[in-house]
Amino acid sequence: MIFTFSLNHILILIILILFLSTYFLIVFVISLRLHNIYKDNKQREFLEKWEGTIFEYSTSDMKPSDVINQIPRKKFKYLLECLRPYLISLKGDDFKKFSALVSKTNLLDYLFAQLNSLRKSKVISAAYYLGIAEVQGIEDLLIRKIMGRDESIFVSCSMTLARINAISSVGIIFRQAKNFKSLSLDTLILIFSEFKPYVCKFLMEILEMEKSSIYKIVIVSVFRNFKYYDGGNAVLHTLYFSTNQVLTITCIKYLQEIENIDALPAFKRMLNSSKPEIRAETIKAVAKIDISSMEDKIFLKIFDTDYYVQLNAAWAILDNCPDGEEKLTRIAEDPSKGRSAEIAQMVLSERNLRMK
Amino acid sequence: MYHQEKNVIFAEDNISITKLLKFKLQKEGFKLISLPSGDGVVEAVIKNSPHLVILDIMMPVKDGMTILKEIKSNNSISHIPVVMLSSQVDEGVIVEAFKLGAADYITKPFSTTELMMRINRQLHMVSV
Repeated sequence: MIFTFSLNHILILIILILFLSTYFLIVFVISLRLHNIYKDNKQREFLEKWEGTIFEYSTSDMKPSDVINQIPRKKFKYLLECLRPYLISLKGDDFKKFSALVSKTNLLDYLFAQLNSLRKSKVISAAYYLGIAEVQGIEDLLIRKIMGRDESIFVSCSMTLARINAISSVGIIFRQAKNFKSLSLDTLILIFSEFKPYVCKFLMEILEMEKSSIYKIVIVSVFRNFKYYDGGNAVLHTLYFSTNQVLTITCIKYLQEIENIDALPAFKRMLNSSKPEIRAETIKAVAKIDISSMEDKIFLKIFDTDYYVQLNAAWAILDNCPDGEEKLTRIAEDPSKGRSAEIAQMVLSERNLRMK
Repeated sequence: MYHQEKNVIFAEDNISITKLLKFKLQKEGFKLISLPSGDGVVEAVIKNSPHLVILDIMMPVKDGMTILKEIKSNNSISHIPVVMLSSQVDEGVIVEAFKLGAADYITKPFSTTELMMRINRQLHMVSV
């Protein structure tokens, strides 16, 4: 009886907790929605009142401070939201006009105050706007910020340093990134790719001294994004000594991108790699750079044990050899060739579809 | 001026950019009909017979490339020059747009002055 009584109580308690949780969740969702509606209305009101003035400014000789001084400071967050699409989508004189509204007015003091705020969201937002407005002369301030322990602040301030092309911060960003273990490779690649292409010259110096494969992958990926031709020899050297599969593939992709002929002897060896991913990527690279000296070797890869190696080899032969279609047709028509025949048929029919 | 009272249809999902361009084009004597998505663009072109169409590529409902294809395959409107305005900088996409009949391709970020020049050049070529 006592046991039953206790169980009933527990059940009632669980139901009550569930009920209260649901209630608070609903209240939370509704208040979030109301907050968004309020914000949207405020933004709309701001645009109705000030957008015309900003447009007039964009086509006139008005000073940026003439516009910003009219707008109350408490409306600055709506103003920044209003300027955002123009700072992102415009260039040339248009961009300079909109950027001056940030960099040559009270808005800059407002953003500096936000950047020094204790609230993370304010710091991130301020760094973002300083970045898209390409405000110069803020390197030291941002470098101080990236020296902290917060990963989100590191990422946003590094992005801003990249957007303003603060080359002097490249090494610092690199060193500091190593303190954030959960920072993804893609994020780092994105940060360094935001710099102007000549960041590659500085990254090359780091590549020559770097020990970690992870950071080598970041550098080679950035070289690839910028098609940095001068990195060819250094990356080839990295490829020779790479024991990391991802780094090897990243190097192959980069050397393929810049069509580095000097890499062909290394690629010839890599066609026999024990790793199918490396063989598959090497075939693509050779096909793009120059297949002539390795045509026979690549043809044989149509009979490889790995599906993607076979597929890449079939495409390489079809797209790059004068008698490629004939060779593939012979394989396709021979059922004894098993999966190779199926792949040859598939590649041939896909090519025909593309031509139509 | 040859662009006096010229109609331009502009399909772009970024409302802020549309409003800025509307403001600038109106100042130059153009009439801008704007559409916030790819929906109904071809119909608007047929109905209004604009002098020029500006299309973004990435738009809700229907993308700019499909609209370009539809405009160029419709004999009644295929003569209207179409200028693509997109953040897609991929060479393949740009070549494809020209193959489909785009008169020009402008990448974002863009300059409104440059866009205006290119619009004027297209309209001048048509008038010649």
